[in-house]
Amino acid sequence: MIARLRQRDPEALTLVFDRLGRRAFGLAYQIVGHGAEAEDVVQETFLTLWRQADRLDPDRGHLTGFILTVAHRKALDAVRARRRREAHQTPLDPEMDALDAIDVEASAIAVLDGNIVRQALQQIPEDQRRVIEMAYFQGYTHHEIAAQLRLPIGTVKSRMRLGLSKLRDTLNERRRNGL
Amino acid sequence: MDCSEIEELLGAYVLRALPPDEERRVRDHLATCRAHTEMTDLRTAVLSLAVSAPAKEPPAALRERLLGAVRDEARQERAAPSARGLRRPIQHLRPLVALAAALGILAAGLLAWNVVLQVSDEGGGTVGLVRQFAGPMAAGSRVLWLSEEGLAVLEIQNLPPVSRDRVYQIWTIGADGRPVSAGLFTVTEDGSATITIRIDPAATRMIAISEEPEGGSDQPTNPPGLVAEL
Repeated sequence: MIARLRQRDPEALTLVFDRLGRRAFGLAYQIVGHGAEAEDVVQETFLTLWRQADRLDPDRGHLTGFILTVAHRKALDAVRARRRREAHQTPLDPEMDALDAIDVEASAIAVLDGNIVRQALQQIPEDQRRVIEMAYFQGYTHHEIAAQLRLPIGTVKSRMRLGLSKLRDTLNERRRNGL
Repeated sequence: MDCSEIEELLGAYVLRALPPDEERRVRDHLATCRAHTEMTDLRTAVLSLAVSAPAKEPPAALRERLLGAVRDEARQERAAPSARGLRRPIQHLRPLVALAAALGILAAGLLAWNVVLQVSDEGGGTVGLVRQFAGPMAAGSRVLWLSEEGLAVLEIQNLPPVSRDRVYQIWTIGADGRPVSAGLFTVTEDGSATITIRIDPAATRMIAISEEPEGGSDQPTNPPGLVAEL
């Protein structure tokens, strides 16, 4: 499929959309909340895939990681832009499409079953889970989280690392137990 | 930033919880430092976060809109292949990656190319402006871009004179990232030179200068000492 994208076959993109569109839309919707904005995020995400097709390896795990990474970034951009508008702040200069790090290894070994991940998340200590969710799903920076929760910035940073490590350990254990 | 500061920020970085300037500094550090092996693990965890959001069926119209948009882009690409490089900022960066790979001196070249990336960050060049050279040997050199005539005048200053078996070589770089030789020059004792070169304004994206053996090279053998984005 990636080969067809590289050959600039538009139909190939819709096939990827058929496979990954629901996940991308679900993620975008959870972050931005509005249906129309979520649609824009998803459209931009798949257009980005089209434009950057020659950066990808023909590897299925890679494609999923790419789509979800880009969708997440664009959803955060949208929610942060909205926040700035609502606070009457001047918009940041439009962020250049960043070179999202495509970590093929991470894509290959990430657990992609939503149920398993949701269960694993529940096993992370609440205070670590909270800062991770505020960052990943609400798009707050660590400074903003520290301010909102009245915590030292170092505490926020370390909770993020510890929480992600705990999530990784829990998922690894599930995988080792064949789940 | 040193490695221990980076380590503290890794969690926030993969969660995209850093403001743009901090994010850029971490990314630049990671581009040249291989010590932070935890990154893959952290990225794995973050990718898993992505699927913890329940999947949701998008409206049917979205698929049609997407197909329409992609067909439009495909049509534009066929009509003007070089234009594909010009429209999106990301395309500014890819030729540099290709160029660095083509030079085959990634490790040494990366620092120079980080400088080049910053030049790209400052937005596209427009016709008629003076462009400053950037790079380890830039020191006040600049390009006067006379696009209507298809000419660029390079005003070079403070460039160290080279030994007699070496020369400075000018390269023009288009959207495909391939450097094409545009001439050779040497500097006077005070390190200055003024050179006029002919450029195709539609195709040329950057001008770079590297030090080469006498007589010039077919392809650059050194990282660029000066780069100007047009």
